[in-house]
Amino acid sequence: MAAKEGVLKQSLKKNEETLAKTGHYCGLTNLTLKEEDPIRYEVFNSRLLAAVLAAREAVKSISASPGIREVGELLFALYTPEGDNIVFSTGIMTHVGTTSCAIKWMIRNDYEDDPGIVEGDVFMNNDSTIGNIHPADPQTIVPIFWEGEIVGWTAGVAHQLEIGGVVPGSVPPLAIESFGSGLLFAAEKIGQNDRIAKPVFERIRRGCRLPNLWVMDERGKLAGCIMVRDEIQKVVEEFGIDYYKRAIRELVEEARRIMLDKVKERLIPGKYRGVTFYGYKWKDEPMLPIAANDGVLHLPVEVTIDLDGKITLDLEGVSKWGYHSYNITPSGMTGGYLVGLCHQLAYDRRVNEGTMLAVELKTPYGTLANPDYPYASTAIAWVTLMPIYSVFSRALGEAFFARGYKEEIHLICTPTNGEDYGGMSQYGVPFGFTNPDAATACGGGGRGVKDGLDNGACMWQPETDMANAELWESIMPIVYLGRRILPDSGGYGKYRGGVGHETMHLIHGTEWVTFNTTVLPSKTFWDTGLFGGYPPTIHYSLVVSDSNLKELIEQKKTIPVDSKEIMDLMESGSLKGERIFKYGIQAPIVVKGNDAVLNLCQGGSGYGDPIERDPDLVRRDLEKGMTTPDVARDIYCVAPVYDETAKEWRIDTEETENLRKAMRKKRLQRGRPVSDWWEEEKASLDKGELAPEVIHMYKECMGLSERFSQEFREFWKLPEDFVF
Amino acid sequence: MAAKRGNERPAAPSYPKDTLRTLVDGKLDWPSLKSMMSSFKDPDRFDKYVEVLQERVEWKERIVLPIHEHLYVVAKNGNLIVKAVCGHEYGDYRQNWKMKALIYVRDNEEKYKELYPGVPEELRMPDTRWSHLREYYCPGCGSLLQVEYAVPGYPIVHDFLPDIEGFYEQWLGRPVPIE
Repeated sequence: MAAKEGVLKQSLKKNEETLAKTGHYCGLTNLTLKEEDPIRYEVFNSRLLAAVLAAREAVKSISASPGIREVGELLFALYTPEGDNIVFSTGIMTHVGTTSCAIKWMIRNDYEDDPGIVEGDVFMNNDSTIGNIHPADPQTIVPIFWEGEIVGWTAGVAHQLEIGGVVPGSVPPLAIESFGSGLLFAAEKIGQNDRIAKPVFERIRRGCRLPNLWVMDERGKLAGCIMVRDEIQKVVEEFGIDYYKRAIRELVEEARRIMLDKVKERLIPGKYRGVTFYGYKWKDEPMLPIAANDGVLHLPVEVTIDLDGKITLDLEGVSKWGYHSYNITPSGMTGGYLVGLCHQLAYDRRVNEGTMLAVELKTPYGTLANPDYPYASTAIAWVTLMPIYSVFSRALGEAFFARGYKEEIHLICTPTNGEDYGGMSQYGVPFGFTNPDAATACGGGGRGVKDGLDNGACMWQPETDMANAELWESIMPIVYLGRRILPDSGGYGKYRGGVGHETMHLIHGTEWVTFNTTVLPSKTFWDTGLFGGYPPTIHYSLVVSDSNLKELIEQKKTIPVDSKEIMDLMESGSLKGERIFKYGIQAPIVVKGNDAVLNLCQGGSGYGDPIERDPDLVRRDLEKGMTTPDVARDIYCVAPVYDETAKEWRIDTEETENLRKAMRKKRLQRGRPVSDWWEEEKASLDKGELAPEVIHMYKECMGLSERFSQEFREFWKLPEDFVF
Repeated sequence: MAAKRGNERPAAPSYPKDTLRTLVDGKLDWPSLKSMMSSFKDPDRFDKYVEVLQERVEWKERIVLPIHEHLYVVAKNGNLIVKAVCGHEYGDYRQNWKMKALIYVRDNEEKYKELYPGVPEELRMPDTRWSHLREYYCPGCGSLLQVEYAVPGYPIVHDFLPDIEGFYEQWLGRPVPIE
């Protein structure tokens, strides 16, 4: 039964006009169903929520891909006929918003007419300009009908760990345009009568290096969508179609109101600002000439909380889009916005499209957050998304602090990472794979009253898991030599960032693989702490090439399992080979069998002045290997003493007091009045002593944003016509 | 104290000041903290929180809005100024307090090495042409107030400009306690 032509398009338009006119979703000034029978209304909501949660759990159990099964990179969601989200499962929730964009795109582009929307149809989209973060997250979208009328949509989204991009894996860094960023499905009808067409699978099989995972996941997601659809049809039968139609809209309007109320309940109105940067180095890498540049991305964030409770996130001044893989579309930014809100405000009661109707996002056209080039690559869009929402979390942290809700302060800053491997597997077949291990167990940011989560935080999927090493060994030609907590990898602070870890692989069962890391900046920070907390350390990876590791193993001699041991064993002469350091994302290099690869999974940012950290927390960190005696003394200004008899750390309280007093004195001596610093920095600016990449960044951003230009000129007292 | 349960929905909780003192000190035990995080918010929090902070400072000016662990907007002589817990005054709250702080910029390898004692340079050193850490110290007590990550030449960021009048008058329903 085909949907009537244009019905959804008209309905979508009407909904938007009504919201603009009345301020209420679908003009609902009263939540009648909720008010008349709140229990029935809650049962209704629970049934919808249970449908998407059950689908996620079921598909996790049957999925082929460890990305879904172990890491949990999967989401199911339910939408109104017009594509507004009603409920969603746990998981990769950034796609609540992106899928909404994709459904609305299909409606606006007359899919009701061509290709038609019929019961049993299956659509797939991973095009970011239509509605997605990046091509690695294909959405499977299924309409829900009731007696010939479309009454909703359901969708399943999963991250695929190999998508046929220019570099093996899921987030190809050499993709400087959309063309190399992976196999693209632009809101395609991929199936009918609940079956995905054979040519779709053939396309995946011929377009990816490890296609079976995607093929089987596509089937798994469709099974989940059918589960949701069947359950929703049962709900309609039980509650009645009129109740269903009204109730789904009341749920959205209620979420909008709850969000506004929460803001007024927990935050402080005003203007919040923050900035971060992302450095990349492609000049000396094997890149096409147009993209062979080093550069710095400018990622400023302004958050305005108005008296109505609306939060506006404005990215005015952000860098121009570029021939790199770090661009993101507004749909991706919208998806990330909900994740940011879910971490901090929208984690309970009603959360759906209504939550997003209570906030606003401004992404200036032509920037890397809203490219004016239709083929801009979004392969690693998280590069832009994550730091922006890290800064957003600091703004909310300041607001929570001011309002007194310190228990809610939580710095989102889990710089994700992973290893892309490709080549021939241990089974003698081609493969490509992004190992999500190191992406899923970062250190969480410090909180207002306690440390960040150690080795377990993940911005994009709070419920994630790093899985057992043996699982990853079964997919890629690697053997884990170690996963070890890296002391002090979290930002220092009164409440430190959670620590990250190093993971170390031996390339095994193959002659060679290609290797590169994903997402992180090159030799720059990404985050900042709050109220005196420091950012986490920079990223690195390390390859030990032409090594004698095989001999060491055969001779049962000590082998390294972390960077310190690599350094120590090389120093002693036991470990031989060439050390190749890499920082952040770079082009793949070839690593030979029996060579080793080490990668850092970073920590989170710190909160508060480190010298105010409870000395007993430092002692506990020493016991657990989370910090070192050097850092305890030099940064936390705590005097640790190791009791050889009791085999434990103790703190010399008096010496600690002295160290802390001395540090305050030192700061007062070395700190200069900002006015002095300003004069010196201005002189340096006048002489043009900045790095060319920094000048390029300023020039580009000033060209794009009059507000940024004006503020820059005002701060440095530059003439009105100043340009770089 | 856990939220009280009513017939229709949990009543808003209200915590004793002692609990809030413990929270502010970061000493609240995890079960209590988790319960607080999972409960409805306590509407009297702001006033009690300000009272807890007020009783800890040695000066007399009334705290109007805490904006930082060490900095509060206070009422003084009919004006709102930023005042540190240690007593140092930064001036009008609408101006960026950082401009009146002391600054120390980590802009070379030597200064970065201090941050990462005992760690090989290859594993920690940022590119100092692009990455500066600006540390802002309180001139009154030497507390580290903020660590700002910036590229060289970047204007100092004004982190937070609260709408104090709107907050008091429209959200709390009372005038700003400026006197």
